[in-house]
Amino acid sequence: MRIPESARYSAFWITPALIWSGVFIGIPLLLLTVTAFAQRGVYGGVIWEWSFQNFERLFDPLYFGVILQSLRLAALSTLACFMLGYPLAYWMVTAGKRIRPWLLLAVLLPFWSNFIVRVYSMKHLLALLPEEWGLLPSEFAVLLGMVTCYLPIFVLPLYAALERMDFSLLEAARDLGARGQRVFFGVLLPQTAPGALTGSIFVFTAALGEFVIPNLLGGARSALIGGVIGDQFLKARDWPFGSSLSLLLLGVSLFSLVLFIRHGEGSARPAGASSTHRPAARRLVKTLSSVALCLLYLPMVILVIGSIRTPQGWGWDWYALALSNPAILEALGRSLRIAAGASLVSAVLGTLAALALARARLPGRLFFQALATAPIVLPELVLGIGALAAFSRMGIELGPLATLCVHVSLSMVYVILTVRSRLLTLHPDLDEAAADLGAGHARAFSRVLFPLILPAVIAGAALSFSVSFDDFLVSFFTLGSTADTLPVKVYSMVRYGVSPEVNAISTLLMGITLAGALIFFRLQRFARDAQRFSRIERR
Amino acid sequence: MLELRGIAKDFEGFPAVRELDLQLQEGEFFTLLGPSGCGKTTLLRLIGGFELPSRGEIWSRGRRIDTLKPHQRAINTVFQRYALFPHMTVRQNIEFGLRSARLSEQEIRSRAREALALVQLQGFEDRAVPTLSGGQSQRVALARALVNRPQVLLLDEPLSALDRKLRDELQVELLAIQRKLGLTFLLVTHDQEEALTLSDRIGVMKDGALMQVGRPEDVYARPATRDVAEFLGTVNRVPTDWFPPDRLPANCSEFCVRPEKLRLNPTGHSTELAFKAEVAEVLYGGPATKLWIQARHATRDGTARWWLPTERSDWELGQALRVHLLPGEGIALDSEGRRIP
Repeated sequence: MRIPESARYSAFWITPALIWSGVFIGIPLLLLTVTAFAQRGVYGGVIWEWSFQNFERLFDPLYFGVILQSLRLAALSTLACFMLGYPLAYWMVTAGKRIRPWLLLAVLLPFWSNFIVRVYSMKHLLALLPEEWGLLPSEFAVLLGMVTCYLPIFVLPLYAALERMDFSLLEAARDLGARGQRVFFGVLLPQTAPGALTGSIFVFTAALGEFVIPNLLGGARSALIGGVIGDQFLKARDWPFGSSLSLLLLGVSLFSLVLFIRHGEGSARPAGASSTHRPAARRLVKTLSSVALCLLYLPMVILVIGSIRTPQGWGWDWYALALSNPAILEALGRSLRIAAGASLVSAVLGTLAALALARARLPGRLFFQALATAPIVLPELVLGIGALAAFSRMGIELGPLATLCVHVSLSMVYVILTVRSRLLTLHPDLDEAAADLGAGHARAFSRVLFPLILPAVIAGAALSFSVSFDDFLVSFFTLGSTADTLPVKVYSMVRYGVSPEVNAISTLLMGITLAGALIFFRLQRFARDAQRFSRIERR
Repeated sequence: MLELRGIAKDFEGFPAVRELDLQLQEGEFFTLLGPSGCGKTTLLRLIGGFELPSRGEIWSRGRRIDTLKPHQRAINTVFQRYALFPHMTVRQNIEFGLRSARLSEQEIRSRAREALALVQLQGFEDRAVPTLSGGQSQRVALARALVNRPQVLLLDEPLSALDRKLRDELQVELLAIQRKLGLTFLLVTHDQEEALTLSDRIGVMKDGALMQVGRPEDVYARPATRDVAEFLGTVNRVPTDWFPPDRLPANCSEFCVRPEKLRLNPTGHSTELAFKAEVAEVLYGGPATKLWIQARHATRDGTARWWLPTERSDWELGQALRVHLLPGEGIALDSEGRRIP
């Protein structure tokens, strides 16, 4: 869309966001890159002598084995997500009008739930099973954890692709005599390939750099790249080698990003006519979908039950215990403060950046757009470690404030994306109409544009809040040793076992997520209504 | 009162409007007519201040305005997609401009009421914009612009989104409002019928330039060029060698005639400008039937395919006809497509 001269905003409004991300993401990544070519000092320092030694060590049988094992598990997780997620997405799209939103919510809820809580719920479930089965800790448990946690991020882009697909193509294929497999491999899969690829990329890169799941479910035997990186920075104090491993992860995700931009869901053509008639899901689809939903919800349900199961029978004892634990309350308060601060700063910086991206004459708009969204696809482990390294080197004190700053650069993306997409649905002639009716720039913004994007700003800020509140990795590495947030506290409580107190906190957290999700749904509906209105008005 | 002097606009090297002069009279209804992409909307946006001219000047009531921002110009626009503020009520939309101008609360109320009455929307004050129909939205957009009493009201294809019946109704209303207020209206449209119906004067645009400016009757009956003739109504071509040698001007290379200026006279007397024809297609259309005919000269080679409107509908394919050209009604064009007077 060409932005008319009179509806333009200044391109400079993107600079605060750029500077912020540059300082808290750019510099750390740069530092990691440089460190990867340096040497480890005798006492854990870094000696700035350049060599490729750290990269050669990647081929050391010990570490090479870890890399291969990580690749294998990531591939297996992706495959499993595909086998369970595809039927689920298909069911979501073809289900009746009344069940469809509920199925969508069923996938979104786990997606929005706290990550640590979800991994822990799997651990809690497996711990209830007989020990002789050898499920905990095990590689299978890690795989199970990965599939449960990453199923939603596979399903959602695929759902979007299926939603836009023209289902009369399937009827055409059947009409031309194709059956079952040929309809799937010949028509359905090629048509939805960008969505499936996007989901697979998300799952693969996330699983490859996973840190929490192997630590909680895999035990000592299943070392993966993520764990090794963490060890290099926290225990072995070999930063140069840890950096080279991080670069490996970063390289894989950047490669995936390119793959995503060229072939992923974002590059998909807008669909043609979408038929209203969609065939009902068959039994196999429903069976596999049910397995997927069970995998998503069974651990959570068991966890909720566990939270009210006391030695004496049923009761709220664990809640009372958890809520009277000062360490937990302190961590909760800190989490809330960090999340509130991060979402506030994100809302301001993100809205300014979105205005520049959507309504300014910005040379290299695509580049800035990619730059603005990059933090989502970068492995969070690398961001956390990079921030840790950079803060230590620059003499910035680790702690809640440092964590907040990195959180802003991560969560800002969600404000930028929601506000920008809202701005793109608002035709510039609304700005022009305001100017035409005698409103100067300030009045046109405050009376017309801002009220119209406000729901998107709030929704983006809410997302930012939950991203910050749920974050574990960045907090884990940047909080330092004296303070912790709730996810970090929960992690340390369940690292080596299960805890009924945590069952209670986890249930509370899930309840908050549910409430937040419902609020977000309402806001989105408001935004959608407003959008529908402006569409009517455009017709 | 509104004067464009050598106004031009380039978009990245593409000339959307070429050096163009135009003067509007106080209180006239002027229409810019042209196919899409001819630069008429760009011209309107230059006057409204949404685009800055690459060259030239715009003057309004003796004041140069092309350097002013849109909100500083006493000119208002009715946007093609209405551009009503979706988060405000009808009243808030209409009062927006008055509040920008910081009028007194009493004045705002009374003028908004007047404007609503003018577009016959009393009782709609507190309706939310999204609940309005297309016609109602259009009236609100009109009221929102008119209430500011602009020196010129710009209308960017305001009726193009409405269905035909509503469009016809609103045309009449638009004209009545313009007459009543005596305001200067500048309408942009690609609908030739709308232009002919509403305007005091029409400017026909093509490729960023004005090809002809004049009263509707003049532009229709005496189009300056072939393009104008074809865009404003349709024409039938008559091969020039079908005429007796001295009947056409010497430099005439093309001869056109409006469909309704052809007369069918299968039985009556003949004139020297009459041709044989047979019915090729009958398109029944209610009040008028559109007849395609294949015409032939008595001695010359070649045929011509013409159409004309008739009131009768009981034609048979292949039926033989005689066709007369009414004297003095043809449009003779020279080799460059310009009309020879």
